[in-house]
Amino acid sequence: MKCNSEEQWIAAAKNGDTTAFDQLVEAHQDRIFNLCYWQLGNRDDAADAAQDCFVRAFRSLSKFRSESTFATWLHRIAVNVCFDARHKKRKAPLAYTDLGKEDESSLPDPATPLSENPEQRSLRRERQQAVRRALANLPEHYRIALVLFEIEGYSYETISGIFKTKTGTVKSRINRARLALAEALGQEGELFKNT
Amino acid sequence: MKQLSCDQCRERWDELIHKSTFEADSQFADVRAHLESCADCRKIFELLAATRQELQELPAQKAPASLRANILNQIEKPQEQHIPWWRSFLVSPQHLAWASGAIVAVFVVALLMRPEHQTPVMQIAPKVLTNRGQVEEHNSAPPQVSISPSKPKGDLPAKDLSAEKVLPEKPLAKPLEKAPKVKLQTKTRAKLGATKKTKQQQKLVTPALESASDKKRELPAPNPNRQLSTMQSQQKSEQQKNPPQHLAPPAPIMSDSAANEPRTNEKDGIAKSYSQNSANQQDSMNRSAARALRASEVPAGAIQKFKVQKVPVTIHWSKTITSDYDVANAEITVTLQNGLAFADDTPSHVKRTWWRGTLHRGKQIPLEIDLHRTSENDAKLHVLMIDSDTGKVLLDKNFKLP
Repeated sequence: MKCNSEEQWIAAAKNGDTTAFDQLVEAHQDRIFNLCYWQLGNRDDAADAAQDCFVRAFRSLSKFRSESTFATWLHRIAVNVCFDARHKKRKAPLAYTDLGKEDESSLPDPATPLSENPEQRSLRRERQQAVRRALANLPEHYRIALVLFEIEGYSYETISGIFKTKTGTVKSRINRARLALAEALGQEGELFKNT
Repeated sequence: MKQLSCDQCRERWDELIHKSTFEADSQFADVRAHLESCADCRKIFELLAATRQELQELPAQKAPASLRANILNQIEKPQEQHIPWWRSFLVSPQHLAWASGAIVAVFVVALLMRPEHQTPVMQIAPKVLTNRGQVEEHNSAPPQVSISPSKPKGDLPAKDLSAEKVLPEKPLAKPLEKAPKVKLQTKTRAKLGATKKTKQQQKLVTPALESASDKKRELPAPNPNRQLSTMQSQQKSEQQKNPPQHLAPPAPIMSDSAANEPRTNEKDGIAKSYSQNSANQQDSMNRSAARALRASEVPAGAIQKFKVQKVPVTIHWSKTITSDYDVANAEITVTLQNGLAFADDTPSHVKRTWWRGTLHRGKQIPLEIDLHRTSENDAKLHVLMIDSDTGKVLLDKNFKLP
């Protein structure tokens, strides 16, 4: 499967093969970008952070010992890069400019069932916006853990590897994040009544 | 089946929430039973399940198309070498220029911040020396030639004067104090035609003075006997008219033979006389010396220069301060204004903490200060007494000196 290919790409990239590293970028860029987006709150900063993350990864590939998966290692770098980016912007007011907004990616998927009428489609978009707003208001650690678990689909163990924390801590964070999110969405009232 | 509490139920529903077939899963029958019986927990659980569904329906963010190309561009570029800041001074001439400029600026500021540049005394003293040098340079009269002092003749220790010559920028109080003595003595000695110098004297004379003295040697020497008698008679008559109480005998006027003899009390006497001198006494001495010069056919220019020369005067100022306070730690600070300086060697010539101690009512603190008056302006002296612990001002007074 890909695993073999990925190992070969990693080995080649360690020897300076940028083409092999490009393959690794292609395989992980969306997930890394998504993580950066949920951490930083807008697409421009997320693109910069994702680029920085891959560049750092390429330059420190020799330190990658395969003790964790490449994806976990890459996500850990991404989390650190985003923390650094947030630290640099600490003086500026933090504004999740995009998280609460509708962007092109939240537009109706072409695969949306044709049975969905315009009213249902509109309601679904409103619900998604409400979820984004509620997510944006969560504390960062809760938000990232929840995104990794629910949106990215990582296991507790993988997330604990990314954060370098215990699995129990990750579970606790996710549970609290979910409760906080549910509380926030509960205030939206009718939007989530019939879901 | 075991009945669960709300807390127990909420601890377990995290696992349950991910089960796709909630109804069919028999492992969570107790949780399901609690949810059916507890409306609050059921409401929250339903909201959590809905939230999870909404989260999973959120479209994942796609990376921009340019990201991959940007990453490739960046990793293919040679990595910039990080140069430590201290090495950048060696590499970049611009940094080097800035650094050297900063060092020069600091050096200049440090020079300007030296205490000598802050006190008026320090500015006046070199001027006096310069004036003296100009006098000697412009006048070919012999009196200024022998400005180089010697211990027996000038009543001044040779080492002090050598210090004065070597460090003309550090005039402090001593040069000012000794200037009139040297002046009078040297002029008198010149009148006496004393051209012979000891080796020590020759060492102490600066090259400029040496050249001036060479010029002056070419002039006809005045009659020494006549001048000596004139000066002595003048001094005697002055002393008879105004006998000073503590004034030492006029040491500057003395013969060469007498000057060569060791004089044990001479220094003390002179110091005492100058510490007690008033402006009138100084003027009278200047007048007598001027008369002597006038009588000895010295060129008129020399006399004029002699007259305009500023002569600092030493004043002994005393005041007793009586305390109206009981203070554990108090201090008195004396600040000099308008052409005054402390007569002794001190780092600051204009301000000094004069007294520290405990005060009680009626305690008398005598202030006895030897001062140099360096200009003819009205001289003022400011006395400030404060409580050192609280900073409270106990006395704040200006004294005008005559």
